[in-house]
Amino acid sequence: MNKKLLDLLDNYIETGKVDNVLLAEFDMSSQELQALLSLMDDFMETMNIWGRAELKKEMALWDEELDAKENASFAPKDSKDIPQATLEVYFASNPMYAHLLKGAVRNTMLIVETPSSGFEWMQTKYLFQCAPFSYETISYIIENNRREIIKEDSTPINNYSFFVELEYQDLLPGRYYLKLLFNNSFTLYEFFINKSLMPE
Amino acid sequence: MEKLDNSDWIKLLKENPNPTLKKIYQTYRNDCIHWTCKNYSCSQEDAKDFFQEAIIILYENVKRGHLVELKSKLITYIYGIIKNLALTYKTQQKALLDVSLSTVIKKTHQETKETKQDYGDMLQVLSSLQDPCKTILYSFYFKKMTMTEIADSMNYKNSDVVKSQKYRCTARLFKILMKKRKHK
Repeated sequence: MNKKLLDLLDNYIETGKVDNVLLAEFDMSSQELQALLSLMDDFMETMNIWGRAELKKEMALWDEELDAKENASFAPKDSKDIPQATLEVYFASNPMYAHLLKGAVRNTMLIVETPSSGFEWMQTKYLFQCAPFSYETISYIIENNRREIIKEDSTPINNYSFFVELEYQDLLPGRYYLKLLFNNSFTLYEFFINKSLMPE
Repeated sequence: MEKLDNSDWIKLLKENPNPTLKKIYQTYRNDCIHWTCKNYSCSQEDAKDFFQEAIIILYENVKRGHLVELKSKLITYIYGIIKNLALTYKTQQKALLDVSLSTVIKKTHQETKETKQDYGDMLQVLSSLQDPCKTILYSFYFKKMTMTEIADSMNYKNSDVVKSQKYRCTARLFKILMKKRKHK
């Protein structure tokens, strides 16, 4: 089944009509065409049934996430409070960021000396110390491992160091990412909240 | 709860369905369940089933262009869908003795569809799909996401990579479906 035929079928699914310009490229009898269109109609009906079931599975995950947030005024200290499967989701590595961290995406204008990537966030204000450079502020974005933005802000730089504030106690345990934005590039850090809950 | 006006929700659902649907679900879930239990004297489980069905119907209405503008608050629209579902359920419950809401919902959607053997076979094939084909086809054909949105959510390099993968998945899937149909 070639790409042009698939394009014809996708066009039919989207518009409900057969594109005669695309159709002209195929030597197809009207009977064959009708059989194909009937298959597409049945396919979309089935896709709606199957899709609904898949969406309900997603909703079950959204329920778990919402329930966990509602049940925790602070990040739970006891892993018995959170199902193992949920912890695995919270601590999973984001594939794209894992790849970037391995390749060490670094803005060479900005070299952070401490802390190292992979640290555990355990205080509201964290101090980052850098190699000497001459700028006055830095912007940053904090994301969870699903690349949802938790916080976006900027902070002043003093004596080659700056603070990043985060109400970590309001966040779920898990793996997070900090992007330090500088000069149309960024330096990526990974950090954890409640690292002791991370599944082995 | 994020304060967006009605047009924002519809626009976001069209442009960025994945996170928007999740946001709507998580924002309104508790209020809708509470409202449903109070107004229709049903269990929390049934109320959640109604709510989930309502969210799916909301999404389908936006996708198909049946809902382009909200004349009331979004939650009022959702309540309206739930009300229709609850009334239908009560009517059908009278006819089908002692069945759960989820059974009635399944029967409502699948009764006329799955009587055709083809749907049963197709469902089997779709259910046996593995990733990445499963997520790509689900995202494209059911969620109506664009190639760029799919690339972003699945961390693919760009939309062209998704397009190529989708062609491979669809070609393989349609080949199986056509083969099954020929053997009937």
